[in-house]
Amino acid sequence: MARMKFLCDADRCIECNACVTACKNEHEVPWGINRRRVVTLNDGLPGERSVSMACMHCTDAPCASVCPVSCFYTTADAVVLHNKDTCIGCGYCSYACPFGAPQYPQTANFGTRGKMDKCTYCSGGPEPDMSQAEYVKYGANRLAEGKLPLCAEMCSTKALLAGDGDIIAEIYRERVVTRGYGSGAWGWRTAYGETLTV
Amino acid sequence: MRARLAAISAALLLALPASGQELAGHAGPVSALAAAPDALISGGFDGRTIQWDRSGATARRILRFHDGNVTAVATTGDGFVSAGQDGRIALWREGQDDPVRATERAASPVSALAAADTQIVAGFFDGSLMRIDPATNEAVTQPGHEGRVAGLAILPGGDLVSVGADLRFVRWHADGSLASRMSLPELPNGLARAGDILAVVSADGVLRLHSPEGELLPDRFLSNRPLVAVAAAQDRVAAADVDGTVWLLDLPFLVPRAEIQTGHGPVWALAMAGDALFSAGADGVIRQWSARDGAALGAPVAAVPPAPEDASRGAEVYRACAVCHSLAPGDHSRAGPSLHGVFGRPIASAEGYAFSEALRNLDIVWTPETVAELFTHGPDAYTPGSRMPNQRVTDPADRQALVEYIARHSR
Repeated sequence: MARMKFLCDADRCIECNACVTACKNEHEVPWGINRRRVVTLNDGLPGERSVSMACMHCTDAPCASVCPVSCFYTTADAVVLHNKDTCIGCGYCSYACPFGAPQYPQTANFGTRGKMDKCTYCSGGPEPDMSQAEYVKYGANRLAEGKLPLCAEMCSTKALLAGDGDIIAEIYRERVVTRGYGSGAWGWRTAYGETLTV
Repeated sequence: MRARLAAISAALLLALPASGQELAGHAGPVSALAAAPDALISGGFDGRTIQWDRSGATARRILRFHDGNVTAVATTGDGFVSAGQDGRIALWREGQDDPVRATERAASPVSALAAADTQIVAGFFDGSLMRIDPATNEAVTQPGHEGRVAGLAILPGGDLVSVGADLRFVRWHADGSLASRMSLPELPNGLARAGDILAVVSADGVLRLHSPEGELLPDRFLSNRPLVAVAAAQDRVAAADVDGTVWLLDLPFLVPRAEIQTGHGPVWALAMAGDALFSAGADGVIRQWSARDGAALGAPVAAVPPAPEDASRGAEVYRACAVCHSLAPGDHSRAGPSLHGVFGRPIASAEGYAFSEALRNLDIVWTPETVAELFTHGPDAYTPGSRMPNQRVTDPADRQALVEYIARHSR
């Protein structure tokens, strides 16, 4: 079974936000929530670079370790998902996440807590694959269709890679060897506990 | 304004130990702490804000003002400020049971607070900033960050520093105009000030010091896990990670002084005042440590008692309920009411718990069948208007196991 990962090559990201838009469209993500966002560092200054941030589906995910109701689980593809039927919207996962991925819903009724929302790696949730119930709560399940996350598929510069961790790491190594420089695969060490050496 | 406030004499409710011991008063995780030489304020997931008497280690006031988690607290010269998941900010003064000022609910929860004599500033999960003038109670909201405001600090001259999920370190003039903006290398999770030094904890496990202009000063890698809490005072800074480790370091060079294994899950909040360091987190107990050497001050106390464990599937399913509901008679200290004696009881009738009006207007008697129905359809559909999160148990076998577990342990 593949170990699915994301890789963000900050030297290639041009801050076009296509990944953000593709995600919103594919999953009909509600207003006020972005499962993916692009952050630009040193904006307008030498060394400017952008990174596309979402849930990285960490090894030993901190969100899962702090959840008081244990609503997170890891799939056979190593994708970290959460069960919205169990989530109580406490928000502690949001504090623990190294990437600011879990989002508070902004449409819950006053006085009630909604459910946290986050990137599913386009692989739905605990409901039956590609069911209407799964789509309403979590969005499309592209993995069940044999496809990769749309954010990475849509990326015009292939700054954002998704797929088996070994394969996308090798693609990144080849790039760095060819172009002769690399500012690092942003978030890789934090998410997966290993350094991507070239 | 009808303040939904219960100021309860702690002496009646809490049998707290003598000076120097741990503080147990929250029934659930503690999210926020603030300390001053003579004050300690805490806020938690149980919706309570507690004002502690530090000299006697007793809870002087227990305030239930916020709906949901109390996410941030700060001390002021003559009182304190609390803010919560309901987006409200409340200013409290000594000796007054109602807040002297409370903002309206907001769509976004409050994620950070800072207070000084001349201004109170709140940061929200949607990135906005709200400034409140305590003299006039005038509140002004402005855009601050793209994403969660992770930390705020007010500088001696009145300027504000904020860090946010957009990986920005921003300095604002006292009038709200932008003074300077710098990029941070990683996601910030908290900000604390000691004199002219600003300490930022980050998700990559690094504690970074900055000048008020944002210039990077010494930093130190502390953990492979995200750092989530920070506090600073005088010449010392403390940081904590999601595994419950707290580091105590000397300023300005971040020389390690002590490493504390709190051993009770994530530490969500730290506060320092004088020679005392306070930590609190997932188990709801506030612990005191020496800010000189990290030594534990006082004897341990029992945390929130766990739900009865009988090795059944029902006990596993009930763990999610136990965050908000006790099974002990009359124990309404958590976010929801006690479930003791729930079967046969009309909805919203448990004495001593402030039910929402929507629930009081419903006509349901709790039985194994109606509780199963609740978790079949979820509270949004079955008890609309309830403050309860929309929990559903979709597996009929799990619902049956849950109902049987509650029946066994609620008598």
